[in-house]
Amino acid sequence: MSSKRNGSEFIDIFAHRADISKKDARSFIEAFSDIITEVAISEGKANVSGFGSFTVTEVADREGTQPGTGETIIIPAHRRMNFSPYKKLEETVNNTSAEEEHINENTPSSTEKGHNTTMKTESNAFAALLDEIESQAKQQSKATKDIPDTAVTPATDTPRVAKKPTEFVPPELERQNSSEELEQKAALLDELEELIKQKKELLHQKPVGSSLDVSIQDDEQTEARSDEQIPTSHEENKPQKSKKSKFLNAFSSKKSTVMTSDSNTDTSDEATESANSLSLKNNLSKKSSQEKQYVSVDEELLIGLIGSMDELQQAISSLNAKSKQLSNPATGVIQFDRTWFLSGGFIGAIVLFISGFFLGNTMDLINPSINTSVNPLSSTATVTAAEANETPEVTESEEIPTIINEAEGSLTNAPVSNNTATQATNNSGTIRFDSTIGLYNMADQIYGNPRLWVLLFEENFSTAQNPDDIPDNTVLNIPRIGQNGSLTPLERERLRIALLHVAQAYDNAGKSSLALSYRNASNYYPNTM
Amino acid sequence: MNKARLVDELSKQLDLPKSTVETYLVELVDLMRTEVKNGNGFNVPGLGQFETRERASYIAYNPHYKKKMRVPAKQIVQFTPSKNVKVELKESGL
Repeated sequence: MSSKRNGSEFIDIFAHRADISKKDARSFIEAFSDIITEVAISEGKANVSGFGSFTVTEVADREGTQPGTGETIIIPAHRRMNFSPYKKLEETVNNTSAEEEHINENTPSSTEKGHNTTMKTESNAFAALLDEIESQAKQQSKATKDIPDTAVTPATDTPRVAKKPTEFVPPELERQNSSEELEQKAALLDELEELIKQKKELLHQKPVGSSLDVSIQDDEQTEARSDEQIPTSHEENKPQKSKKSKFLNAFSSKKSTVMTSDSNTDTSDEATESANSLSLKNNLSKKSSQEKQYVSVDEELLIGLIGSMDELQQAISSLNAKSKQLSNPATGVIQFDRTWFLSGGFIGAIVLFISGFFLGNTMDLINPSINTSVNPLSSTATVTAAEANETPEVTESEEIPTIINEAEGSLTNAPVSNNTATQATNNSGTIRFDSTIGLYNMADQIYGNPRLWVLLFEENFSTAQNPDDIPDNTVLNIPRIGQNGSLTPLERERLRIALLHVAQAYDNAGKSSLALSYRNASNYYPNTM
Repeated sequence: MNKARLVDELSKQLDLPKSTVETYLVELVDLMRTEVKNGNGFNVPGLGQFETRERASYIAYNPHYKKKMRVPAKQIVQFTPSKNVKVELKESGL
């Protein structure tokens, strides 16, 4: 390996090859370099055909370690010029064209896709189920009796479909799904209803299949088990936590009654409703006898729960009525619903348990009397998880303006710094923009930190202004910031907003890569100050 | 920016006919290419240094297929911009 060729050697060789004087060679190469640099900076990219391309990229601030002292410093945002050789050159350098090798080729994974597609597959499965039922209905209208088939196929299908979301999806999402599912099913059932009505007369005579009865018993057993488990855990709990377990208990019992009503499709709706109310009353009395301290609270709690559950119950009973009309061929649908609700019930119980836990803890800390006022909130929040999902976004978008206001308020209210005289003089008043200095360096002079230029920009310009093309002699207001040598949380927030503001401005100016880097910087940059 | 524009700009700046500039440019690019191929570093005054070095093989993760894969060792051309370029980059403002 011979040593690197330096600039003059390179010029010598070029002069020799091009057969020109060294002086001309130097001026040519320098002109070439100038043009490449200029174009790369102004346009972001400069191609040299047959050689490669030079690109200028934005590098955001990052943390680094000072090599000498070992202390952590922030490497400020800057631009970097990169070179990428064109493909042939790269290949000749490597002699062989490089290809990436796969280490584990045989594991195509589909796990994470789960949730988004689950809804689709589920509805598809349901539609397929309906088709199946319909075709079965046709068969049966031809007086062929294949009851086991109708019962078995949905039974094998449904657990798979119902389990899927529980593996991947957080309970809240699952809850949201449940209401959507319900609507979907109702709509589908409506369609089916009309189709089936025509064949109703023929199907109407058939008794409920024996396989259905067996499965109902199974379900009831599992329900019973679930009912047993919860009270035991409830008894183990300290009195503090009893509220949440009651909350849960009430819910699960409610759920189970709903499920039993679902399974007992041959009984009338009124009967199931009365059964529901009966079991609820039993539950209520049981609970109140168990925990006398919280009787009043719990009663109101339960009443709130009943109220919130009414909607769900109505939906279910309407579903029941429809599925009843479907008679025997609809056993698949009924089973589908039941298993689904069973799993839904468990998930709902888990959700309520968690929310009840937090609720119980916080409420105990504050005041028992608050319980009643907050409980409806929690129940609605859990029952309609869609709302709960939306709230974070709303609060986030609402937060920003308020924080801006606060930041500006604090800034305008902030007294002129009395600690450091230099900062006070620098950090107040206005300054004229000088394009030969640039905002970046002006911020350096004002704040001692060039990266704070975004604040200057945000204070004085709208996003319609191109940050790289500010007219000369514009009078700029200087936002007061960093009065005590470091940024307050509000100022950090303001810095974040300023970065986003600049990003938007760059976006408007058509410099999307710059905009992206500022947008990225807004995520971490203010925290590093 | 294409070759024609580069030639255009060069001829303007150097006050030379385009045909001459083009032959020089072809020669320059050819020289740079052979220098890169030779594997020795070289310095283009005003632009920066070019070096070829080996990048060691490393394990990369493909998030789409969720696979780890080995990227084999490879010769890469490394460019270090000259002081001139760095100053211009800085002056152009952030």
